Amino acid sequence: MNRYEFENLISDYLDGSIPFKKRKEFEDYMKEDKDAEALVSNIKTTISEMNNSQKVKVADNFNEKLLSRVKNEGIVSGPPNNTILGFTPFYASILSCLCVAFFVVASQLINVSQDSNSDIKTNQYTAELEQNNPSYSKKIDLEKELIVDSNIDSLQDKKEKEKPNNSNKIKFVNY
Amino acid sequence: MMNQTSSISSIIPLDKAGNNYVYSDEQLMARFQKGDENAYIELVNRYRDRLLNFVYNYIGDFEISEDIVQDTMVKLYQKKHYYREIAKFSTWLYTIAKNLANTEFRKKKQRKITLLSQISRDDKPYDIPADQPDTDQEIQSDIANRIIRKAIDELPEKFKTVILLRDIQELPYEEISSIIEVPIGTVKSRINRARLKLQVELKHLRT
Repeated sequence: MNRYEFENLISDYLDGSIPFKKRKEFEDYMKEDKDAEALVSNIKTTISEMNNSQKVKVADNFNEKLLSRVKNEGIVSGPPNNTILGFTPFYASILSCLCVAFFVVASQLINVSQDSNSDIKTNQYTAELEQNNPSYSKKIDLEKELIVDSNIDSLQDKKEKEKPNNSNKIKFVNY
Repeated sequence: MMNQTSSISSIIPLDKAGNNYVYSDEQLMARFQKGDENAYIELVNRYRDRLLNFVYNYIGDFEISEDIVQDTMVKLYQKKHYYREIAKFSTWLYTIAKNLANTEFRKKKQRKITLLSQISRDDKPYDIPADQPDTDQEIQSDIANRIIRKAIDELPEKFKTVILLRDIQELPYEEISSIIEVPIGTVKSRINRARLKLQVELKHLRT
């Protein structure tokens, strides 16, 4: 055990809370070092003097002064004033932010679910129509074909337009 | 309204077996919160001297220490609804007193002037009103106390607080930890270092 470890254990030793193994090392160190023993003895004496030190008492009119102060200064004891529904302003603001966030998230979720519901309803309505009116499905198919055809035509036109026009660039001349 | 002498009879009722029943601090506080002002008087009577010893050893001036204890009791009256039974009542009260004492200690350090209360008419240091020691032993004890108090006064604030709470107020480590809001390990370490530092100071003062 070195001096540093020894000094760290002085209070535990005096309180009686030092582990048994450390206690043996501590006492062996004290036996070898008279200064260390004197230090422990001095600290023990000082603690005892502090425990037994002169205790002061309040003046006889302490209570009287206190009660007249409470009465005359109009000191009122009551529940905390600066609370909102029992919460301090700090916690009230955190709680209100959480409530707002909850409502925003909930409204977003509700909107999403409503959109998906409307899609489902449209599909169901279309299916019902097809079942009840077979010509309706043919009409839909025709419309789809027209859309596809128009797409193809527009694609061809686009390709033609994109073809480079080299007619003005190179001309072969037969002599 | 509040009668100091009738407080004891109303606060120590008899239980079913006819024995005196003494309310705990927490029970008194609960009664005070419900409006029983005799409970407040009883709490004041229990803690006024203890707090005065703590604050006086911290500040070093008797009159200012008594004012601080008065302020603590006024705060107890005003803020009774802030107390919750999660913590011990004594911990809560000591925390209020410690904070007020700290504020005054810092003001004192900044002022560094001699207070009128410290000088009597003969310009001699002011002594607290106490019984005059009769024997040599009592005189020796009185001198030893003054030297210890002076040595404690020289300690840094964080060491001074723990030494006063542990070795003069004799509070347990757990309570000290709650009052100064540091872990128990830190409290023990500070007390150990404070005791070692105190020995060094006492050595200087005694030579």
